[in-house]
Amino acid sequence: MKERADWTAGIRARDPSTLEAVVHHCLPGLLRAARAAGLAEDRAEDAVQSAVLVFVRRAEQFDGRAQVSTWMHGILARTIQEQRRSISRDDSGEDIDAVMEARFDSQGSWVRPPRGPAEDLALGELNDSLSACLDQLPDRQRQAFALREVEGFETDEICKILDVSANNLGVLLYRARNRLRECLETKGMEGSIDAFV
Amino acid sequence: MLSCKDVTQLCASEDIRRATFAQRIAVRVHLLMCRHCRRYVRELSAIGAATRKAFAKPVAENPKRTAFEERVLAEIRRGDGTDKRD
Repeated sequence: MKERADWTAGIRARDPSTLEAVVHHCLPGLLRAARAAGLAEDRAEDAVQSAVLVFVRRAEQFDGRAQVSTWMHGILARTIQEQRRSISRDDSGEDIDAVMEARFDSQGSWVRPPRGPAEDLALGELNDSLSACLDQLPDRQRQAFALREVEGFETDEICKILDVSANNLGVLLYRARNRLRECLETKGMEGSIDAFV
Repeated sequence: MLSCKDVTQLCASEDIRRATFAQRIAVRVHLLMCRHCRRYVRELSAIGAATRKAFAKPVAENPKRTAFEERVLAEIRRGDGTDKRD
């Protein structure tokens, strides 16, 4: 992910060839992030296009302190959140916290140890289960998880992109990962029951 | 002593990355001794890897412009990038 330090002036001046280079540099990651956030291909392209146009419109606000891609992903994250606000799932009153609580005894030791998939996932199986489980994540959790695991952003960059504190990001990632793990574990058990009954 | 619950909390949130050196060692020692937590951590990393794989594009660095890229550039030129409404 190499970015050029001398882009800043060109971006602020909306120099066409700089903008072309920036778009070329950022577009694949933006599209991937939009799809990983749960948008279908055409909706993902719409969201990325409007994020890029917002970026260009506000180009003079870019001060070069953040990476261009961090800045772009921040605009994209807000675009996606605005689009989905109406259908957004509520992630207050989080039930995964209670689910996790119930897996440990009062000493904090496992009562129900993990029985989820690891080997099957590594082999690329369970793809349908995985995408069904991803679709059940609340939007913010899914965005945080996708930026971390798919785009490989460092946690401090994700805090800037999603405009959350380090503690909040930890909570989002904790809930996303445990929801996915619990969901896949349940599906794995359904699968093994199907195999016998 | 760290409990299993503490370890899952530190690993799933990645708060471990901001933890003290002593805490990081304590988590490693716990993982060496506890197969349930080892399995838990392995499952989380498998889920991350599978998600990465599911969304990876076959061509990482495409030197040529895609049709979508051409469309975005055309939109930028159309607005000349100087449309300040918002």
